[in-house]
Amino acid sequence: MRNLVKEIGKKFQNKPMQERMSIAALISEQAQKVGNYLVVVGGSAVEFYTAASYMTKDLDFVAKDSYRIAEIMRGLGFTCQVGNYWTHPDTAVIVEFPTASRDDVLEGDYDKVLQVETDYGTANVIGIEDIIIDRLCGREFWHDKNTLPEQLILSHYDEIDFAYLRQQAAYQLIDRTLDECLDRVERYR
Amino acid sequence: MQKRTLELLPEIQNNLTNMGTQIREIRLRKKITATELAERVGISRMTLLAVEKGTGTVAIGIYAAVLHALDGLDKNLSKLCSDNNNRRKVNLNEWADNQYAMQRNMPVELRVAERGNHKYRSATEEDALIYAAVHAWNNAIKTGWIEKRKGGYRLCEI
Repeated sequence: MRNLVKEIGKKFQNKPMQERMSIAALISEQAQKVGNYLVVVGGSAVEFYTAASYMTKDLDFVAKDSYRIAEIMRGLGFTCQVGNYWTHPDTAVIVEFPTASRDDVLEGDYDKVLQVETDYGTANVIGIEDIIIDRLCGREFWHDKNTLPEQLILSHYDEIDFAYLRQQAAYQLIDRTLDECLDRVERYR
Repeated sequence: MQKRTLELLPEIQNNLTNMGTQIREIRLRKKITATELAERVGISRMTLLAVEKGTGTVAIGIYAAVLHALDGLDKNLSKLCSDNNNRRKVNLNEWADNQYAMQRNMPVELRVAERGNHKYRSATEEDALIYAAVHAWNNAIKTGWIEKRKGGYRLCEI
């Protein structure tokens, strides 16, 4: 059997974002074959939406169902050593299923999920609005001092559903943080 | 043991020479002789002349002591390192170019040539990060590295 992870690692030696997305697509395709659905969330999604301006080491997934995840990962050559972290000898990418024990917990809307096609299949990436809300929550509750929400809004301004963004911000009790962020964004536009 | 000599970049040496000249001008305006100022500071006249020439090997403490003797001008020294409330001024395009080149493993000169000869703007580090991300995304779309598709994107090889 072809070691596709090794092939991806070799092909995208100096392109970590492409490597991560291709591995994400490979795993997602395998999951889809058994009726599961994976969504790329967290840092990897931010990395994609900022075209690798922001970089991460992990590849975080939310699985609609934890069904056969371990089997798929082992089949691709990954091993699980600690918690939900999966590693592979031919790549530095660490795959994490933060919510593997809880099914269907995407912090966002499945209808907003975008598909990213690669040569190794299609990866599903959390919607831009939901990842902005996630980073704003980080700013509000974890005191993250970064400008990722501004970067994401400015890069995707024309595609963002601002009504949904506001609705989600209100739901997460971060409306004021969003308003401050949008004020800052306007200064850059 | 051989004595090590300090070789300064011409730009640094120019700055020191300018500072030395200014120190000399202040001293002359105050009508203080070199011997008098040297005595006040507690250094030799030769060392003071080295300060006024902007010699790079003179200790910063001596520069500070000379400035102090000229009506407490050493207070301004600390302002040299002030970073304007932690919002360090950086050259936005230069910074964005470095980031862009580093991430794509390409020489920064190539990136500058690719981008063209735009005028550099000054911005804070925070601004630079924001602009760099927007720039990276727009560039990825423009070059076709990330291609827009219905319902998502396609990662292409370029």
